[in-house]
Amino acid sequence: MKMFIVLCVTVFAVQLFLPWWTIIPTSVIISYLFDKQPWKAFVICFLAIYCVWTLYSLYLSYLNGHLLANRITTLFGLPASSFNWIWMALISGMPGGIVAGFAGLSAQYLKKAF
Amino acid sequence: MRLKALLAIFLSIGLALILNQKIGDVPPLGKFLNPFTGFWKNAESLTSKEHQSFTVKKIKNSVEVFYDDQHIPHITAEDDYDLYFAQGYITAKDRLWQMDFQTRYASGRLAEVVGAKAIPLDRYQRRMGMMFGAKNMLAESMKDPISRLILEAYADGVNAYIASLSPADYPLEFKLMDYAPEPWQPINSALLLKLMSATLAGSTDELYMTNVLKTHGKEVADNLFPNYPVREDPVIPRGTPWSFTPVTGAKATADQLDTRQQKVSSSSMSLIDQNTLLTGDKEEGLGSNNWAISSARSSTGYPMLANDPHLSLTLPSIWYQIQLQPPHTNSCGVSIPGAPCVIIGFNERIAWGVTNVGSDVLDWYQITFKDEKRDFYLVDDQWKKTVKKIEKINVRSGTAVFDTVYYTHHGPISVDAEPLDNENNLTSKIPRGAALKWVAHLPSNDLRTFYELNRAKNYDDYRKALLFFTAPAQNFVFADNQNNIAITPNGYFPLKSPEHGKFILDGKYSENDWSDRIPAEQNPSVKNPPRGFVSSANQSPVDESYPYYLNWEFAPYDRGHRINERLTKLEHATVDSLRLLQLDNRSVLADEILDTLISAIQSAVSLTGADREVLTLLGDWNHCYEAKSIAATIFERWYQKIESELWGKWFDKKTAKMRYPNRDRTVALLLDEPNSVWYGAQKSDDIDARATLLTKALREAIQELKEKHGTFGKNWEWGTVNKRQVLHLANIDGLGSAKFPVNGAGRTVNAIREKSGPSWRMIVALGERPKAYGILPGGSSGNPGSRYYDNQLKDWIQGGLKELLFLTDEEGDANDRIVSKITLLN
Repeated sequence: MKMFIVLCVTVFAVQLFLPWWTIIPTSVIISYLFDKQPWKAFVICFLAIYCVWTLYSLYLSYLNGHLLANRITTLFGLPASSFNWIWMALISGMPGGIVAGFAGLSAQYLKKAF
Repeated sequence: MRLKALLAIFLSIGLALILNQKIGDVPPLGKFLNPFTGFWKNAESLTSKEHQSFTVKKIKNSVEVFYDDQHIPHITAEDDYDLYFAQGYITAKDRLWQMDFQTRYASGRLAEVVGAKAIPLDRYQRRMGMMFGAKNMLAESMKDPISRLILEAYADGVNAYIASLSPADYPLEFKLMDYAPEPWQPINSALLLKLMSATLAGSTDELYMTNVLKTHGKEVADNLFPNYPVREDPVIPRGTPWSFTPVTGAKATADQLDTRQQKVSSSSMSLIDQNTLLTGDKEEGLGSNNWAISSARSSTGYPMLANDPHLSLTLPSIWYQIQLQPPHTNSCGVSIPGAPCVIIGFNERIAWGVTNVGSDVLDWYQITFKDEKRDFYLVDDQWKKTVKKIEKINVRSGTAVFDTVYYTHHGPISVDAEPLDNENNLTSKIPRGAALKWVAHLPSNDLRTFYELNRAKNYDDYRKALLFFTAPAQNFVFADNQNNIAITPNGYFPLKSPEHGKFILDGKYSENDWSDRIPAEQNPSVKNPPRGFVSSANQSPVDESYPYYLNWEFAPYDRGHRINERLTKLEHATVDSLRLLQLDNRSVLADEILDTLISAIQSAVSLTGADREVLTLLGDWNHCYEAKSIAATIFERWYQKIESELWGKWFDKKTAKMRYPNRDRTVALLLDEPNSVWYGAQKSDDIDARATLLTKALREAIQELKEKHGTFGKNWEWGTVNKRQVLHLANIDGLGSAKFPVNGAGRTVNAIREKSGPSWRMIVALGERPKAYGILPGGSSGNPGSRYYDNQLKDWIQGGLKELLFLTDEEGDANDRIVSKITLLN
């Protein structure tokens, strides 16, 4: 839980200023600071980044009345509906989550290798 | 473990690399979906109304920009530089991607961002000489200190805005297509005006007409494609005297042209037939309406003016609403995103609007080259040198393709069958191509017209402003608060003898060249005509008494006639009466021919009961293209079938590349020539070939409607059969509007077609202070994530207008319609 919270806060802060792929070094470093089983590190990193991205997406979408998210889901091929924004927010955390998950995983293996 | 660590980190980085790339049409998902820099950043908050200020370097004094409740900017600046700087900055803030995309489209640079699929289009734009024309325009404009100032100030403003952006702030479409905006240059503004010329003055029928001439001979060409419209209600009222002595100077006489054209038409036409690089067909309804009524006809005691330019309907909207308040002027209306000044609008004293003039300003010359190297071509028995221009088209993948374009003194050889790949060059088989002569290539300073109109105080200022304008020629309608109205079909009209450029011209003879222009002050014009109104709807500017030839064909008679018919009856007009005229859906075509068509087939023995029901329905129809009308759908389909049954077998569009006679001529034939040979009587006992043809066309129309829309009923309604949609400019799914039923059709005053229609409806009531109304089929913002992207569309569909806020100098944010403000600090 501690690692999850630390990761969420750090990733949020770093992302405000730096490109999206900085979730890789951030996840590697934070994961390295905690002792976790590799698969747990993957899950925690995945969930942390997934949650930060999805929740922040939902917040922006809420302020926007979901106008844009509904348009983008149509762009991705879903039939038009005023509730499509939910899908968009749910998908949005995926790329970051997976990339961060593998980054966190590598840190634990690295730790065990040395 | 090390291996596993390596594997995991490689997976992580590898995935990140993949998700950072655009693959096919899929945007780079990592970048795109993350809420810190991706598309979510473009989801504008619905409630943000805060005042903002930005520091920009180049302006001399601070500039204030007030946004009203429709997100329309009202700019107050202290001098011209600051004003146009701010116009550039503020327009870019709402429309940067549109500006970037349209200039790329115009200059043939789309493949750089969308990849190889755009190469044919890029090649086409370059072969049409779009950049060539823009450069000529810019060089001329830069000689004028005022045009130079406004173009440079505008570019500086756009660039100041671009410089303030991080990738997270880029407009949505940059993120979708994964590219970055590049610095704005004054030539981009010129390119956008060239794009207007391409849309409005870029269509051509010469190839089709030459094939008609070749197949059917001069007599038929003259009879079915006459040199003045069969029916016409010209822009300048019939009988208006011309108060000038015409110049002479059209080089080729009609007789000379006649023999020249025959020669061209019998030469190797196959070369042009093969080609795919042709300009568009003439498209009906891609025109516009405007009119002004005098104080005698209005309820206010002052003139009123209305304009609705019909262009492609896209999101973001083609136009950008704005008010500009420099010292000594205060103009308001719509601008072209990417060019300074208000293009259609009003100021304290005057109002103006434009519609297209369909004059012949684009010609093709058949060129005789010396040999396949195409270094020289023949003119008056002498070899002239061509200029070769290598066009390099960069492609997104990092490769480039090259295309050689040959320029004659007319212009580029746009049309040839040479493949892009020079290794496979087929030039030995194709000794000749056609050269393009086009008004859009001429040096010009068109923006100055709008700069002057924005500041015009009276009729004289308006007339002076028009002298700067070249292309695309427009009917400039005018009204002022000193009780004057006027209209001037205006632009560069080449001095032509009749039929000059109706067919492909032979480039071997210099007398076929354009020599000079109709003197600008002799362009047709009328001020305060006795009928108390002026109007235009793309019809012929003049009657046959005008001493110069402008073109043989213009937009059909219907819209212009209908507008004049209604304006003639108009008294005590209010803004609402003019609004209702803009929304008029009455079909002049149905008024003219429907009764004749019905009675022509009424007595036919072969009619079934169902046929007669359809005829009764048509007979009871009010001739209006209303969304709920079933008769409109049937009539429209029937008329299309009549045209194809009547002309299809003689003027094959597809294989022989010919065109049909226009509607005005077709109507005249249907009404006045019941025994014409063109109905194609098969047997001598076929006494009423017209009735046979009309019945057949009606049956086919009904059959087709049944196949496409099921049995007769609600789903045959005009609005259901012809659902409209405002598409995104780059046709991206989800970024356009939903489909909607709407009143109107291409040939009615309310000219809503499949992809085009009234791109801006404006009505101005002049007075002590003007009161103006307008609406866009979209909105002010270019951001699909903004509520101002399409907030006006619903009212536009319903035919509503919104009152335009016209701030006075002192007012500023004291006006209660102002919701936010941006200050540009120096």
